[in-house]
Amino acid sequence: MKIAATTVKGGLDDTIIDIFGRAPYFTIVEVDNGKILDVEVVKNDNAAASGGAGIAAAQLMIEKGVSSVLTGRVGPNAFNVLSSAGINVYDAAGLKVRDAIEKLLNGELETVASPGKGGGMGRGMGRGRGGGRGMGRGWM
Amino acid sequence: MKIAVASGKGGTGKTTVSANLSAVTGIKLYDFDVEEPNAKIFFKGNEKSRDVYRPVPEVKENCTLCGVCREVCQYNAIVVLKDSIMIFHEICHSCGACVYLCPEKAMDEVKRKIGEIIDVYKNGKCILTYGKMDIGEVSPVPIIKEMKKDMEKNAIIDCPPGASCPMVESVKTADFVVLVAEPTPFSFHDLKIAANVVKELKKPFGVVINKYGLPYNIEERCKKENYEIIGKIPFDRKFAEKYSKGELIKDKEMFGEIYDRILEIL
Repeated sequence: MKIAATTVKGGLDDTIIDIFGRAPYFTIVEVDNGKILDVEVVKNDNAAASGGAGIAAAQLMIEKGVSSVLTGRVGPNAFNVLSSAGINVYDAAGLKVRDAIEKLLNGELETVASPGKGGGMGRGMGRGRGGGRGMGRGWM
Repeated sequence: MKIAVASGKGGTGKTTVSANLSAVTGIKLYDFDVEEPNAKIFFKGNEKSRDVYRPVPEVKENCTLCGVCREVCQYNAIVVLKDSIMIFHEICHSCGACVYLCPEKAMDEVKRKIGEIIDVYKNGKCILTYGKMDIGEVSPVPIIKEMKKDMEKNAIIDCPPGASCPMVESVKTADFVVLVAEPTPFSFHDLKIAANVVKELKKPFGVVINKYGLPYNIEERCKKENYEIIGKIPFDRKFAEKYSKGELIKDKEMFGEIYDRILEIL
């Protein structure tokens, strides 16, 4: 089975971060019978997308044949895609990828049962009111 | 003649200027700031509303899950699952690429409601038309475009803040642009951006300084940039008090002069 972890640089010794859609790198680990067979580090091309980063990341998980995702929070859209695709999401933020996989295999990780705060980072669509309204980056 | 009232920075007094200009001249007001329309505070009456839609894709039964739609979508609004396609309409920008490029012709466009256009009537006369965007929508531009379709020949437009697509879409239709600024570094900074946009669109414009009298010398700075100042609204507590009660300033002299100055320039 394939397990994906959200990481800053990637690799088994990297720490899992609690961002899903805008994680810089995904570390995808192939595990069989409790043994690590292969490690693939995939750059997240949509980390800086103006929108829909979580959806694109979820699509990548599907394409890579991932069955479990180790992360922290997942936005509502991405959560929707992952659960529709039958991919399990586990809370492993702050753990090393290697340790998190061991915990997962031992059944020690908690699943993320609902979408956390998502869609926030890097969107730049904001318009503040009151004191001043921003130069909201628009569309078209 | 259509006069657009824009600003760059928000909260400088676009609505104050546009609503009072409308009241003093009798020219109908259009509130294009559909993300937060507030001109209605000053123009109460009977409201008549109609819905606005935009096209979004829907998958038909002959879909083969080939994934072309997902590849062409620039907004990550489409996901290909094992046995179905998932579309996020709220993220879709209605560009139509997926429908156009589907090799199986397996996509249709359906209508999605994105907001409303409301006409406000007083004594049988439509005094204000304003748009209202639904929460979660990606862009006010389609609503503004719809509002522009049946505008009166003479109009005053309360524009959205900023200098991006919604503002450009609103200003594009105008013969003259009033840029409202307040004497603060922030407002002057954004005024320059807005002025550059308006120049790019080749529209004549003039600056109205609101809260005139605050210490930052915006007048001198406008002169340096060769911006013509066509009006000044003094920094006066009584204006704020009126605004807080939903009342217009209705100073015929002050706003009449701004209007006359616009006519002179044109």
